Amino acid sequence: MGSRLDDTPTKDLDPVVSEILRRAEAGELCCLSCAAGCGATDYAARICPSCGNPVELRPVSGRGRIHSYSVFHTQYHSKLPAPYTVLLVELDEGPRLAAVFDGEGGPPQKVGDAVVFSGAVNGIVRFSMA
Amino acid sequence: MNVVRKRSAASAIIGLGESTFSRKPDKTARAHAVEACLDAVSDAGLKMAEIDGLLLNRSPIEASSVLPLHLKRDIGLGDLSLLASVEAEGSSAIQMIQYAALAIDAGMAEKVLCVFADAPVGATGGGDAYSISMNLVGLDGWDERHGLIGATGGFALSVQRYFHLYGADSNALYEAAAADREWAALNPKAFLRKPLDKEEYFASRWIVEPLRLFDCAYPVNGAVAVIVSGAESAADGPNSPVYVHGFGQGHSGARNFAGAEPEIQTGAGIAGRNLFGGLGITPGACDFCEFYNPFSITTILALEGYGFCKPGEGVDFIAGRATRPGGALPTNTGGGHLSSYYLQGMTPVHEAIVQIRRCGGERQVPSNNLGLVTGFGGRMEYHSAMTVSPHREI
Repeated sequence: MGSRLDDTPTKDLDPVVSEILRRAEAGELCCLSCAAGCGATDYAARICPSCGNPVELRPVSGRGRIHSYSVFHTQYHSKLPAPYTVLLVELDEGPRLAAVFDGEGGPPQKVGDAVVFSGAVNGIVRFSMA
Repeated sequence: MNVVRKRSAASAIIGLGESTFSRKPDKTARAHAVEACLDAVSDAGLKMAEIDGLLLNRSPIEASSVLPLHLKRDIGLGDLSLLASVEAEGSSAIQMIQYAALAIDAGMAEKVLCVFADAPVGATGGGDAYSISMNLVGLDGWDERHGLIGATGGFALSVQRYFHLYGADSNALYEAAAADREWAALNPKAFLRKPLDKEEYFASRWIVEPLRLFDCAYPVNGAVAVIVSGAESAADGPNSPVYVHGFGQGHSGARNFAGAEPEIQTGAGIAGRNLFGGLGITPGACDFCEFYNPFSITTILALEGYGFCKPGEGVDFIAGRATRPGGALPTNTGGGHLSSYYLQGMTPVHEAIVQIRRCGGERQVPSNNLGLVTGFGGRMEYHSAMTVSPHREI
């Protein structure tokens, strides 16, 4: 595998994804939420799974817990030198999001640990230990 | 409900064909498919002109041109009354057989050829072909951007979640991989036949931690084809028919949201309920299992999902040697995806046919009255399953 993922231009992303990344880079993590008030949905929802109304972006607290994680030993793109850890974070609001673990030099992570959104650079959202 | 509610089989597999499997770059998937189709028609004692239906399945990561409908011209087929490509990832092989059986039952066709072909092994080996995104989060491009790459990445998350919920560790994965390898040692067509000792397993490199090299499928270039017939005429050919009594599909609606466990609770539970419920039997009626098992963890999850063990108990079941040769539930009896060869949904289908025909040689299961065969796509999200038997009535 080479660096085929390196230069993916943000403008080619799905508009929902690019908006989530744009806001994350500005310091505000968002989830998808039912426009009619049912609450947060998972990130795959394009309509509310409960009522069928549209979903919209809403800011979240940025706090969550590690639902699962894995450590990648192969480098797939230049911004993520291996090894790196991918967290599947369960946000306090409910949805689960993949993020890169921002924990250099810290204690090893485990499932259930509290983590917090620590920012986004180059379209990569990171979480660190809370 | 994808269920055939009959205890007397309506359909049977009467032909099995394969190409020459290769671990080196060789032919195209299409050329492998031609070989397997010709072999299956010959195996069934049929003439090509007697085939009136063709179903195709290619790898989900390949373009449709890799295995086009024009395959029908390549193998000299004439007019057909059924022709389609089935695209449901690793659940497609059994889906093809199900759709063939249903079409035959509905009078659309009489003899349906179903083929899967793939040629993932290129100059740099086989693994890179699967370094694709599974889009688990549900935002296009998100997983790749965050380095969550490949089926191995997705299943590594399942393993870690399983370890957390049930207190298991890498020894559980080793036991699953070693059990498959023990079967492979008895299968002359398996690619990895040397017993897998613990030291070698733990010394193998991480692919995505906690999955090591020997936790992952062994891709080959090749094709497998089967011929489905109505049960009435199934015994007319040279082979003992492989009767199929029931099918069950199950496609999980679990979302990546608090309260759901999509890593553990997969489409297997739904497919199993549809299959066993439709037949009015329990999993205990099965003498052996051929699971779709591209990663060691998936055999554990399948045993639990299809109801052979309670959640969390698959590890001890395997460690107690139940799935190995001589065990109570022979499982992945050709060595499965890890040790025999990875041709997606056709690996378990092929081995099930061998066992029902009693052609298993050293690895033949003692009791083959009823076998479970499964297939899945995604991260076990999409499931299909069927039973196979040498008996028309069960």
